[in-house]
Amino acid sequence: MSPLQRQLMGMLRPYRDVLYASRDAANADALRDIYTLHLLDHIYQTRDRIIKNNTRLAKQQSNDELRDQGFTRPKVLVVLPTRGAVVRLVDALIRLCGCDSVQNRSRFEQEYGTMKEINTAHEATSKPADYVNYFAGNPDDHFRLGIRFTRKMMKLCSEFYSSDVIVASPLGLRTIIGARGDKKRDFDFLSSIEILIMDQADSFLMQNWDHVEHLLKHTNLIPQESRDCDFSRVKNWYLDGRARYLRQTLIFAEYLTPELNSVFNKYCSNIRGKFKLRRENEAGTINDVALPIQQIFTRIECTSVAKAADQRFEHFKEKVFPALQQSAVQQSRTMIFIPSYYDYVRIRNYLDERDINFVDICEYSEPSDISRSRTAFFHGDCDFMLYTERVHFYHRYRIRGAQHIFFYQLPEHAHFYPELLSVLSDAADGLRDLTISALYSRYDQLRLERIVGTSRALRMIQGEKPAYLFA
Amino acid sequence: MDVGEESSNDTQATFKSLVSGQAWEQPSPAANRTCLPHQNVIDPLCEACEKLGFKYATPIQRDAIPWALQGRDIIGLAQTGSGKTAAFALPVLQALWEKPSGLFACVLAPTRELAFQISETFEALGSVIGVRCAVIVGGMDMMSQAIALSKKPHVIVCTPGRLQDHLENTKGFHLKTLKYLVMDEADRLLDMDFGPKIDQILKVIPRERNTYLFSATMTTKVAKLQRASLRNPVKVEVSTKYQTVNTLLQYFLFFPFKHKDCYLVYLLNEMAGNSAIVFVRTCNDAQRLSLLLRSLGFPAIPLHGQLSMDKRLAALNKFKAGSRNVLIATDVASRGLDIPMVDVVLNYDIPTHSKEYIHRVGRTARAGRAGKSITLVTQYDVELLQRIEHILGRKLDSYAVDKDEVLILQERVSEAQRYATLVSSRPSGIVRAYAHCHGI
Repeated sequence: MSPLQRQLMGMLRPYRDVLYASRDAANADALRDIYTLHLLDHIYQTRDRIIKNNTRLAKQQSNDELRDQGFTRPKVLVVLPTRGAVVRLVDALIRLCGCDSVQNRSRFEQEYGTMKEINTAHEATSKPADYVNYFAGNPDDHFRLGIRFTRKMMKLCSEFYSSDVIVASPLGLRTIIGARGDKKRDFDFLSSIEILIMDQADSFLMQNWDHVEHLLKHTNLIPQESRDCDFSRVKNWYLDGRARYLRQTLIFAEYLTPELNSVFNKYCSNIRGKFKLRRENEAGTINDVALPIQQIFTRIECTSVAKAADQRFEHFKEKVFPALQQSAVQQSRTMIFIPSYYDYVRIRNYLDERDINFVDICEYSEPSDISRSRTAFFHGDCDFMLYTERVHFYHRYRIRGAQHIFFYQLPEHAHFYPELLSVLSDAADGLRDLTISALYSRYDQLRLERIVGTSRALRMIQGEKPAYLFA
Repeated sequence: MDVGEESSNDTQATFKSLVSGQAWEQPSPAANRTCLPHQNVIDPLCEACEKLGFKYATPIQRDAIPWALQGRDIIGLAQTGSGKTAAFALPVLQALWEKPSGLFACVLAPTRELAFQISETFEALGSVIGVRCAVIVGGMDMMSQAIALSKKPHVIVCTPGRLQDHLENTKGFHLKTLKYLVMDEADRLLDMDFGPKIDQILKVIPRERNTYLFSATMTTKVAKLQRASLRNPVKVEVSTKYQTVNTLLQYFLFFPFKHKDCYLVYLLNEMAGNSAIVFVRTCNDAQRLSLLLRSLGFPAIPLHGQLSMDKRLAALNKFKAGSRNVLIATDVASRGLDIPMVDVVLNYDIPTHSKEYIHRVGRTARAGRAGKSITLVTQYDVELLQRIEHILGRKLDSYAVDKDEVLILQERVSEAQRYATLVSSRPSGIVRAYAHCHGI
């Protein structure tokens, strides 16, 4: 066990909640092993207790109540972003569970892929390592899998209500949980979750965060049907509807975002306490920018979170865009990078109304449109390109031809910042005319500190000057 | 007038043990005004009674409680509104106090509303000793009931159908620890309708238990009583069979069938401001009459078996709270319900079982208060009326009305009749248009 694992085990064993916000490629396997070990330990312990009590009941040894179960069998929920991630988890489970045989293995490999696919994914691709790592294997994000443990056997693809572990993506759960008013919906299997694990939680932000909150809202509710549960053995806190106060929630993410913080504050109500672990980030990814380019960070004053988006847009309309248009007159092209899809729609409509010559690439664009847009932008047929963070996350296009990059808001993924800037080095006519500008507000502190470093971010947010220049 | 003194007439009641045949001595007249502590009821329960305003034991309580505390099975017969619920609740609670355990007592009741009412009594009386009650009736969520049962409440109050359902389908629920079984309105429960369910329930309850049967009217058929498998029971009777309370004025009103609605409207109009229960035979009638009366401006509300459980309870609560003071009910409301402020009971349809008559009129004139009942009789109902009079052992008085005054209402009533039929048969849009045109 590595020191990290040992330290984490000290938090997992007493069933405390953990938000671990510095997962990275180097420690991903260690983290997965440690939580797999913990969940197996939990399953075996509860199973042993139930079996022991069964024999006691059969012999009628005790008259006192034996309350050792939940409403339904599933007790561990692992939320993962892709099928590839499931393959890695199942690999860890098989390694650590000590079972003699694995049922349905070939069906699983057919549906989810194999470790071999994942290990060879980095060959023959030009994409960055983190991209390969995330999308290795089957990148499908709509799945749910039940895993059942018996004495000597592990069964994959088991029926939900007879499973011990449920592995699913937020989307996979969302489609089965359904919404109010749907005819067919089912979330009783989430009623007795005792350990909830979200690995790669940051990537759920790139999928659909609503689904995550939706599933958390439907976890540990009292089921709607009895599902053949033995009520005389259901633990009292389940009967009282207080199961969520005894659920352990483990969240592993690469970085911290306001969304993760809110989930951690709102849904992790474990009475045994909770830990939030985050990394001090002194350097920031801005140090990785290899080119000597002027980068101007401008602070916008926002009065509240609710108004932040509007105030940012006002600032863009009044201050930023006129300046960008002037530079467009001098035949220089600007890429506008927008993390949020809502902001993207707003700006696209704004540019549309003004008959601006622009192209746009977002996560919903058709591949043919994308390549047409990229060519047009590269050849200077249009002055502006709108580009969203999510499309970059999923495709990592190298958008060439830009002389300005304007960050409407800083990206959540800090390493996108140097990555986007590095494309500029392709510019033929030297680096002299290139400029980078970015907007930030005090609500962007987490993003900002990942890019410029913690102490600089603090100065930039608290300082009196509204603009900061990096060169 | 005080209940305790009033009932001295009833003490000619016979007490005898069904099986042993022993005659039981009549209590001396001095014991009429018995305080509960004299009956060996423990202090916490006496305090609870005092808080609820029960100072003296009613006759049925006075006679039944000592036997119950001796651990005997009881068949209890007393008039409507004479405190039967407390008569079985107190001994059960006292036994619970002495030896507390989960799923200690089960009370069966024929209707859901009655079940809720009984559980309220248990909770009120047992709050001091911390009793936990669960109501297990149809029309409610099975799951939350299963959860309530698995928390092992001390007392469960149920309707037979739903209890049987849980015994069959809820895993981990059993009544092996049951010590007391109470059947309220026992004659109704032992009837044909509930028979098979009761039999099945009795099969899974331990034989070592106490059984109490209570009602205002009791079945005479020994076979039925045997089904309840009593052991050496005491029969405690504080009224002769089929007796109504003295404070109740009973009338009948005879008129031709075609003016039935008209007479009902007239009577309700005469008694405007009083709260009344109108008993009808069918759910359909209940619905139709409440529409009719509402369109004439009476605050009427229906209560029948075809409504959802929420609506049934809501209807009852509205009536209890006084926001609606005419309750149009079928026989679901005829037994056991204790609504203190009912001034009049109107039998729109004459009850087909004369026993049911006793229960219906027993909704008013409860616990020593005065009350009035009027039975509407048409040319078709004469025989039924005579049967009731025979059972009561006396003639009812005719209610005096001025026929012409009644028939003045006919025109408005027939308008309302048309509206009521329209509402119940047509989609709501047309009805609204119709109501608009006619200013209803």
